[in-house]
Amino acid sequence: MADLNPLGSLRALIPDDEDRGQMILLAAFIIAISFVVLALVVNSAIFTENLATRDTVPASEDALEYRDEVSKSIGSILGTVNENTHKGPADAEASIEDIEIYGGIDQSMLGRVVSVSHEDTTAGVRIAQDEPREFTNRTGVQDWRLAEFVEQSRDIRFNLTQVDGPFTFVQEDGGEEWRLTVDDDGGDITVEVDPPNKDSRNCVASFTDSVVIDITRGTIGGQSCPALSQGSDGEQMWFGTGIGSSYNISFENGHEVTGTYSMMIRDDAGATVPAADEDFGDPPDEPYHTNNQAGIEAAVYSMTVTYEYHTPNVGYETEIVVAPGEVPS
Amino acid sequence: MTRTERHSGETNHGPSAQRAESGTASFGAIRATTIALNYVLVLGISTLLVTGLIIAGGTFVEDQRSNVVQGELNVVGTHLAGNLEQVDRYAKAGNGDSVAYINQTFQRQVSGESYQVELVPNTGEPEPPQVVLTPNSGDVTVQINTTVQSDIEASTARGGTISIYYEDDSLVIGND
Repeated sequence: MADLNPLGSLRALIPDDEDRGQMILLAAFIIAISFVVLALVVNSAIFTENLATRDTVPASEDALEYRDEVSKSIGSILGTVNENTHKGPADAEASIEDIEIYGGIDQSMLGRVVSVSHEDTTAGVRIAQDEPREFTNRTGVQDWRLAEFVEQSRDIRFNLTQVDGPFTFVQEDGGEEWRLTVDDDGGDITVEVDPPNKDSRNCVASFTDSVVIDITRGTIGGQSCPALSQGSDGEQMWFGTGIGSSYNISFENGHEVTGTYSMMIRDDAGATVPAADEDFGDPPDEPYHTNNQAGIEAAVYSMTVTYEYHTPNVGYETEIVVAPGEVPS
Repeated sequence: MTRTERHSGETNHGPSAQRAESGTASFGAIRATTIALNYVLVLGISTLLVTGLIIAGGTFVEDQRSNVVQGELNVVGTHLAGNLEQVDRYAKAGNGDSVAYINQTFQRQVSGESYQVELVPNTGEPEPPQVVLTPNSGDVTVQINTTVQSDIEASTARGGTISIYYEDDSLVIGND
């Protein structure tokens, strides 16, 4: 018979009624497990958030940064060696060994194993007129050819102090012809680039006492000139892009401008550059030079080095070809 | 004697006590029925509530877990896509044959589930190359788009230390 005692409802808590409250106990147990699982999930999420805020693999960016530093350092070394007649390729190679040693020490302190070793040197010829005068050849001819059968050239710069009329710089391989014309424009100068298969484009730059036209970097007086780096359709290109691997370099109307110029020609692939004591008149012709300032000098066109960069998590080995001022092919 | 005691005395010996003693069964049966009904109702309602609580709690935990797995795979995939693009930059900045690799250690499991990482090449426009992460169970799949210039070789790796390397002019994923 049912217990009518008012305390009857509390009997469930008394051990005699052991089978009471089992469901609540089970439910509590299941919910407790759910909370434990939820805690694990939240913990996992916190770990992920932590991972998300971490940087990329340590030193993975530095592999390219140090590569760029090495490339720029060797570029400066080549510039120094080429500008200084007392220095030659052997000096450049010795400097690369220094980069290997001292740069390697610096990097090893950061826990990286870095190696830079000289692989190859490509000879070149620097053709230049270092004294301001007209852009005619040694004997005063205004239309003349500076080099023939050129495979690669770089670092072509004109420093003009006077522009009287249209002067044209030409690269042609017998079929395609690139023309760059500098002309006076009533106080300013215009630089017009005429590619072989596209419409010509031009830039206008102010001209006071002098202006530097850096053809391979695409600048006039330090300012970017789109005509030197883009085609008429906006596509990226550089003066001479797509020209054959054996082309000629000429000046036309060299008497119209005054100033200095310099360029570097690769000299290991059959290029014909004038010898210092060559007879005048037949191309390639000699630039003007004095005894102190040679118009043609042996130089280093490019250097190839092997670059190796290793950390516990990153490995990178490649060759770097250093040719400052070379346009992308 | 106080008033309360008197009242109590009246209760024990009053009319209701006399009715119980007189043996009329109708009151007892009514009371027993009420208690059984009560018991069933309490049990039923509490079962319903507790079941609802468990189902809702279980679904909530499962949803959270699914979200967390997706979040974790997203983070791992983004790191891997970054490494992939970095190795691609290494390869493109290099000249000729280059050796390039990046290893990174991730958790072997996400929320207790192991997972696979797959490099999917650009099979057709406009789908870009992707890093696809799939846990071994569950229907969560994470796809991370990448922008690389090198070719991508279809390859897979499992969770743990994952290596992305450049081999035979293409980018490959594998375990270190």
